[in-house]
Amino acid sequence: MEQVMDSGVKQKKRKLFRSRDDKMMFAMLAPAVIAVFVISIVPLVYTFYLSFHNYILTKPQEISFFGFGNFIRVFSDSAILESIRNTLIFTVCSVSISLVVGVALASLINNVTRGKTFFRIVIFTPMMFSAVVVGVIWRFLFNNEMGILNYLVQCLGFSRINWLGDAKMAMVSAIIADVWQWSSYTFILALAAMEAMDPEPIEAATVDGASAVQIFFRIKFHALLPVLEVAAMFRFIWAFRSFDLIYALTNGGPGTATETMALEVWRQAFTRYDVGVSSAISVLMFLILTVLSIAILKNSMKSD
Amino acid sequence: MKKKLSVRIAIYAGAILAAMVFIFPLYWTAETSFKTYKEAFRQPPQLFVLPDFTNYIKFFSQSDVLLLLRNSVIVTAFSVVIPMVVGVFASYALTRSTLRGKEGFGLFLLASRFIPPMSTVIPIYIIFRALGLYDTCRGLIILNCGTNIPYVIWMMRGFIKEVPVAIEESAWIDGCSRVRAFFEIVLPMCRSGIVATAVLIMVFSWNDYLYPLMMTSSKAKTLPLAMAAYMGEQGIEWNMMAAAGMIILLPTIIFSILTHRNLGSGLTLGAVKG
Amino acid sequence: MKMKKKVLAAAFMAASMMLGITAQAEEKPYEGVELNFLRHSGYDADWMAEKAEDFYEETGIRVNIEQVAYSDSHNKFVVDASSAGGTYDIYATTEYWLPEFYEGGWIIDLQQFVDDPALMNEAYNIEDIPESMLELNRIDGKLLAIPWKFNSQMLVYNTNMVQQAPASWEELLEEAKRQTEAGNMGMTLALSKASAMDIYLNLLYQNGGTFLSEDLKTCYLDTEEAKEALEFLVALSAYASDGSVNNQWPETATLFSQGNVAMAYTVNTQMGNILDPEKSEVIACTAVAEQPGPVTACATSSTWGLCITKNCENPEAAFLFIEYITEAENMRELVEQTGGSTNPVRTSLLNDEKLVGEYPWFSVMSDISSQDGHTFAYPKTTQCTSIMEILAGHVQEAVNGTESVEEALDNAKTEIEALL
Repeated sequence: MEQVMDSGVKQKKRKLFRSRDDKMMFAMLAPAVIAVFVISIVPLVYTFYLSFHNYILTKPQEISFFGFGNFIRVFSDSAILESIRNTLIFTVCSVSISLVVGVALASLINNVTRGKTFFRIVIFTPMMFSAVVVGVIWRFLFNNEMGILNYLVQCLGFSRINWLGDAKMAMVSAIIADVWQWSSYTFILALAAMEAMDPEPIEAATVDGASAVQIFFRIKFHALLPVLEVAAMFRFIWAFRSFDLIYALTNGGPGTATETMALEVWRQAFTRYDVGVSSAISVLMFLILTVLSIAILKNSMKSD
Repeated sequence: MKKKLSVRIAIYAGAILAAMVFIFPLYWTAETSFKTYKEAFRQPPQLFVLPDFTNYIKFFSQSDVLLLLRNSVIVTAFSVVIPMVVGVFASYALTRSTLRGKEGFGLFLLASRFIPPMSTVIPIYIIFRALGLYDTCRGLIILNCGTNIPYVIWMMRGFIKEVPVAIEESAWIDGCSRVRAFFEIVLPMCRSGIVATAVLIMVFSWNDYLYPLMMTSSKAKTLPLAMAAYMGEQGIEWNMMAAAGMIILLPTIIFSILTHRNLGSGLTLGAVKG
Repeated sequence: MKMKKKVLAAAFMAASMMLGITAQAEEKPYEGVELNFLRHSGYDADWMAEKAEDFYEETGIRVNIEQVAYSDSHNKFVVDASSAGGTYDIYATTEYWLPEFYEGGWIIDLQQFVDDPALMNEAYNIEDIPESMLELNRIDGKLLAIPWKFNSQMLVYNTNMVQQAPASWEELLEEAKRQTEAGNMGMTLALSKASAMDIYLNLLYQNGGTFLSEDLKTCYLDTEEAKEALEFLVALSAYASDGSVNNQWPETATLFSQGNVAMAYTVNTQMGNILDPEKSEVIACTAVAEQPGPVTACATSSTWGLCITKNCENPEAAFLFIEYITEAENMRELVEQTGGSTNPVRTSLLNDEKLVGEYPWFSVMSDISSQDGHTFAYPKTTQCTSIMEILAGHVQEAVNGTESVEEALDNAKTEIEALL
């Protein structure tokens, strides 16, 4: 962006600026990197280390190098394979639906003139519950006989839905609960971005006769993209690792219908005491998320 | 620009419907917290109850509730302030700089969040014991900082990118130092992003359950643990848990009400034009 | 002269102080000790917290009780006990966790304290606790936990709907069918991951089958008895509430307490809830019976006990607390405070006229525990928790129809044997 005007003076200024600039940037970046490194990387490395060892929690003295043995076990255990599938289904559905819902709601509320604050706060509240509470509350709401949802369903004239007892519905219910909680996140980000949007291009387009839909997809969407990218990224990470909600809601049941990788990590470590396999699953989650983020972010990194 | 009446009605109807769907579980929790145990399960469910604060009083009369409240407040406050300060600076550096390998850094910071927290519990427990951080507020704060900083950096990135470099550059040309430009131009324009990020990590830290469960005993316990304790052997005391849940929810709601004005205020208007 | 008097007075005071101190020391040898007791929350926990205060008055030992959510107690204990220098000294545990804890070396043998006359006072009467209960808590001859209560499962029914308790599987199925057709809910079952295995295993043993071999190497889920048991369960679940597959014991009890359900398999700890006027609509019309079966009435039993961790620096003081809590008089108090939800292991209390009068299901519990073959325990293996979860998962699949009865049992057997 810097144009070379007077090669002599400007160049000098550029060089100086560059080095001071970079130093300052580094100083701004350093504390964060150090903090994250110290706090998060150590357990991360330890988990990687353990994934290559056979480590039974009740027999720590017998820890032994196991090569890829844990990973082989991971890929040959049908329950774990199913958990990979469940995790992907849960995450992809939950993230995409919550993105759509969040943006749709933001568009809607953005056009509300009176009481915008009220709506903003109300739609924002689900995010403020902790995951445990969300799981427990929805467990009760979904209860076949005593839950309010089935009561409402019956009032509308339908027969009761077996939200948590039927294998397929259980996954749907988990997704519903997760979308309910996290659409508020995409909503608030999208709304903030929409409000910060420059109205000029939109006004110009409307004057030119463009429909609301066209305006949305051609103009608004592009302005939302950077913020939505991050939102999608985060949502993916959180949904992928989601534990408390599903644990409280179904404990992976019925059978293994809602057993996700995060639940398996817990189960392997704390009920089977096989910390090696548990770490291997964690490493697998790490790899999947890394590949996915690189894919998503490749575009956005380029534009920096 | 005035819209047609029918469009406006449709918008409001949609908004109200959405609001009802999103607030319903909250409403249900609130009214359950006003009921006795038997009433909570009655079929057909009672949907309108008069406020009755017996359960709330019972919750507060527990001997250690005030300590838990204090711990929660201290841990959350520091877990928000420190990551915000460190993170916003780092985010600016990451977004704007021409440092080599900054993409790698960015991904590295985010990658620290890719491991499920459950698998970090045992190593962190061991480290905490070794460093004497077990059952301390500062231990929890340190953990939260590590967890929150990547989120701050990545969230602010989107908002900082929204600020056109042209504005900063015109300031530099006018003689403003880079640092001053950062504080006086970039930050104010990102206000909504800053607030949104702060609210997000505040919610995370306030509601954090796993780390406080495993890393505290009696001194640094936080509020969510008191609520979870209502899930006992003989069943969940729904009405008490609802009351505890409402109490825990309150500060986050208040915080977002207080900051809502900053959560989005069309701040770039006029800046680019001029 | 004055000097002498002063010296004498001082000596006298010193002597009496010394005597006083030694006297006190004899009463409170462990004064000032602080213990950390981790347990899950529930009715017993609240009572124990109160008793800890009284215990402090008596002995000067401060016991800090920490209550955590029931589902998290095991997790938290494992993290703490598996590292040296863990915080907790005492833990409330069920007997089928003992093999895991023992293998990790995380808990200590309590027999040495039981046999120590300095710690164990005579009035305690450990013979009051049935040997079978103690044996459940023994591994390799070491007593790893002192049980204070035991749980078992019964059939509870609504006397307004059901005249006589069914005495066999056929009668049970008939009754459930009849009730469902009459518009009530025939049955409610707790088939969640945490309890489905209990329901199934009860049926297996009622049918005369066994779960694992003596040497814990073979799983007997491929037998005819096992198949019949699962088929019966699937048939029964047709007349049970749809949501059964996700219901845990408390939810089942709550559903029963509302009065629309004819029968339920329930665990004794829920009886306090079912008969609590503040929580239930059916207090006047509830009765209990043993769960019937083709070969024998039978239900699983498990105990809850207190164990001491290896990390404990004052195991004697910890044992004094355990002794105090499990004393006969205190146990009686606990039973009454929890409305009979707590079934004491002490035979004197289980057969006590007054208690049986107030809590009629005690006699059923007594039948279960005292008659041969009317109860069975979980297998004593370190993989117990995982095995039970696998079994629960496949039972759920069978009930839901996603796996056939044979498939479910075969898969369960294969996975379980892989762990053994």
